[in-house]
Amino acid sequence: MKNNLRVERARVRMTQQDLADKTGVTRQTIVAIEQGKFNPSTVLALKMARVFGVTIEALFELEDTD
Amino acid sequence: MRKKHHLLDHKWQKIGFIVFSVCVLLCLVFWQGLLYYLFPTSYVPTNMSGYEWIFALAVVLMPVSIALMALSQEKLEDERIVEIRHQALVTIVIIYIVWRLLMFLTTPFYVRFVSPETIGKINMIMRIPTGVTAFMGYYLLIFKLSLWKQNRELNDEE
Repeated sequence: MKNNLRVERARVRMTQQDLADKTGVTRQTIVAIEQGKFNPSTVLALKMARVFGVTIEALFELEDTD
Repeated sequence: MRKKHHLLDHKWQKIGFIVFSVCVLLCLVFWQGLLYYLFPTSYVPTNMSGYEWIFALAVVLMPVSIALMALSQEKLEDERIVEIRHQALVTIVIIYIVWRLLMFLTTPFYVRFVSPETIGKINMIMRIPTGVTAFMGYYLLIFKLSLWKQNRELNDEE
């Protein structure tokens, strides 16, 4: 699964720690999601989308291999 | 939507660690005479008899402290940590099953060659690593190592 988390974060000038605090996870979890090493749950994905004010599809998209 | 972890609060992990450290120290003092070894000439009593209950208490409290550490959540228990916890549990269950199978399969071979007393000792030695306390200890070790390893890899970023 691809994600635009880093791009969206850069757009709103938010650090990984800020995003982690706003979504109630650790900074390492945000790094893991950005690197594609960990797929977030629906709840966490929705929280992130809400923080950036975008839809889930704008943040995450399925790849052919998924 | 809040997920229930069925785990104890993080403070219990700290309490468990303190109790475990004290227990290990007490066991070392009584079992190896470490205290006397470190301070041979001073005020440390050479005769520990009468204080065995402290050692017994340490032996009883050690599994409890391990359980407290294993069953309490991290400071911020998020879904990645829950996944690591789950993986550690699966790993330890597989190791446990393999070990028990090994015990079961090897017993018929060595019983022919050794005395009954030795069989008893071998069985005891092989059972210690499969006890409940050991199980929780291995789980805790695997979980903490995996978490530390993953956090170290992810800490490099930004």
